[in-house]
Amino acid sequence: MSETIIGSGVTVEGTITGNDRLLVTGTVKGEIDMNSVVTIDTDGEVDGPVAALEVVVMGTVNGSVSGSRKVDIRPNANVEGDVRTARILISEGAVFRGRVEMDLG
Amino acid sequence: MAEDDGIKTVIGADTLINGTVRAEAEIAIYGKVVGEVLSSDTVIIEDGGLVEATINAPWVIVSGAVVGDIVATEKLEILETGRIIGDIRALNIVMVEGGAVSGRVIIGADFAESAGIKAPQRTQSTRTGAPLTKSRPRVETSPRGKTVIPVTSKGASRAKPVQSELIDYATKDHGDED
Repeated sequence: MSETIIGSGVTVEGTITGNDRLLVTGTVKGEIDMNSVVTIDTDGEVDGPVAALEVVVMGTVNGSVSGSRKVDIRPNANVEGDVRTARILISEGAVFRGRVEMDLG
Repeated sequence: MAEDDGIKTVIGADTLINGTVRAEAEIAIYGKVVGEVLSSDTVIIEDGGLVEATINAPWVIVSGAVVGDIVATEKLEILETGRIIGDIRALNIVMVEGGAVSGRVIIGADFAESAGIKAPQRTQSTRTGAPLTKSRPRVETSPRGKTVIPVTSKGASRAKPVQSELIDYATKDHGDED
């Protein structure tokens, strides 16, 4: 398993899927569905749903976030969308608007 | 070039992007991209990478597979493991023995201009003028990696000869255009 990095000078309009770890420092307009850990970096921005085993948000997500194992919303993160996960962390300073649904399975 | 604290964009081997990738910094593709790649910087298709898309960038380096058209406004490099099925238009080309191309090829300043090569982010409409529409040359590589481009347009005899590694071409003035 390797790593995919969407750097700050890059915008992807479409879907990103696969098994690699993903780090988004740029912009994604569309859907992310990875079978791994997805990290939205502080400057990263995603307009669309994010689904992964684990999602770490340090930047901006306008869309639903689904992390089957865990969703970690860090300080300075900005999430607008529903979150669905088994475990959730929301750090102080984070901005979050949406519903949280926890599955324990 | 974007100053982005050294984070280079990499599409991992086990990643598929379906859509348009717009880049202002160098990108290296080890995985698969289907759609379109538009960049104002270098696009590298690594060995194992597959791009089923049109690529429009100043520098394109192909070590993997591309099924789609490539427009390289500065330079196109096709390395040993590079495979391209599609039309290519480039200002300059470097092709290393082992590389393969199947499609139409337009290389060089004069050809590029009349073929309407544009910098990325512009529309794809071709310029009016004298496009090489009549008999577009077909390029094929032989197993030993030598490429032969037959040039048949009238303009070619006035054009400066284009020096490209491992590419020989014969210029014939057929005088049958327009």
